Amino acid sequence: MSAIKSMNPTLWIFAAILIALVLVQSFLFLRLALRFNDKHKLLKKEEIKSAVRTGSIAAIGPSISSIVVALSLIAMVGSATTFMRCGVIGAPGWELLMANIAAGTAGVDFNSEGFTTAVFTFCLFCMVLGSAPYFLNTFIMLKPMDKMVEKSKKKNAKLSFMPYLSASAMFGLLTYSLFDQYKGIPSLVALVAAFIGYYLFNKLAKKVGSNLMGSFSLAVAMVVGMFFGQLTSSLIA
Amino acid sequence: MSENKNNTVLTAEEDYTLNFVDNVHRIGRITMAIALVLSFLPIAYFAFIQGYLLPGSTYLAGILSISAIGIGMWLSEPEAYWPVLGSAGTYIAYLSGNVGGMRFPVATTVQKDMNADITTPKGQVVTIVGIVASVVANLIILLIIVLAGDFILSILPQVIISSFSFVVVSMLGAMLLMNIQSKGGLKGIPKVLPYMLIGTAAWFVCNKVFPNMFGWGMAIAVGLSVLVGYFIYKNDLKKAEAEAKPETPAEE
Repeated sequence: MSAIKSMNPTLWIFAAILIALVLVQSFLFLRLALRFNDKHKLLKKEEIKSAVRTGSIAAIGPSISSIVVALSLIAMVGSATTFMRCGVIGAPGWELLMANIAAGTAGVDFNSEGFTTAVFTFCLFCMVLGSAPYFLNTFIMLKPMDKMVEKSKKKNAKLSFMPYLSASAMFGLLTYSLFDQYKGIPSLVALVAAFIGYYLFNKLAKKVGSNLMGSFSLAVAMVVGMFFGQLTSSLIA
Repeated sequence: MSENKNNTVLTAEEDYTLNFVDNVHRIGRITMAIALVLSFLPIAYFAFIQGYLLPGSTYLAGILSISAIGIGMWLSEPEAYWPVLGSAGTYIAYLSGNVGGMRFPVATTVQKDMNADITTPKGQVVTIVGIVASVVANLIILLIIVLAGDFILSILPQVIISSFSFVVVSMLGAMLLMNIQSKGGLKGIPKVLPYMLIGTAAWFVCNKVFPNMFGWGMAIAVGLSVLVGYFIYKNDLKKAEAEAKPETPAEE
């Protein structure tokens, strides 16, 4: 733990730099999108606001849900590293796995005498390595993929492949992810409850005609799912 | 950058193809390259300037075991999310993290709200706005957690803490409904059923039959679905062309 304590302040500096990059990138993309929108009047002000609301509200649940894992990560690698790794690319669960592999490889336990500054540096290396290849992947692959799409858009004016591409990818991905998240009956109950909750709340929002309510639909579905999932798991136990 | 003088007469579609896409990749590529360097910077500092070094063989062992776990996902995951997130969304998502549990649901929701597909300029704009909002919100909450996490945990009852394990599955359930609704509700299910079956099959094969293929599962699910989607598209196109011959407008 002394290794982490001594390195933590320095790590906050590196964390701040990386997080700044995340914000700069977001700002650049946002500026690009808004300028484009101003020029072509694609979305009304109200619609932009609603997208901002939806985005921020939808982030609350998953952010808070990572609190438990994030805290165990803090206990293992300190606050600066946790902030840096969970704010950039990683998700707490993945970072936890990487940290464990690192300690295992070095043959050292967290919070032990053997967890030296050198081991901690190695641990950082493993966590960074766990997601750095994604940077390379997007750097290399995304542009050619867009070019391919633009090409195919030109070819067939009669019927576009694009709706087929997004529908097939979306449903394939969604179904796969659902199975990935299946962890016994309570998760199934949560799924069904969220499904119904979303349906009812959305219907209500449409009836009232409130945009504000609409952007809460996902959050409401999440809370309903959490409630019934937890209820089932408490009843079973 | 000198403004293209033709810009005033370009439609949103044309401007998107000619300028917007290139701008997205310029921002994306530059920031990702900087991120790659910056994320290794603290390690370089501690290892080479402070001299906190372990033997090379330990590093080699670490690289090998992490590569074995990660390689499937590294190669395929961004490509699997890309048809939903779009290029700008994928760049942001892979720099800021939490792709499956946060950026993917946000992108889906804002696209459905505005009824705008990611392949349209409108869909791109709204997805960028939504994802950026989620990045800022996530960073604020994360900072609070890091600074006050122990306190927050101590005031939350255990029941609430454990109920958070259902967040992602609940979100996916809502997203499933959202997408079914946008494909015409119950009537649309036969159209998307093949993709759902492929997703199911891919999960079972890559997690139950060959468990060490789990890193590739998502890519296989999406890849096969898109392939089947392409065949269905080809078939529909043939029909549309046949119908279009006697001077009737082609329908979707």
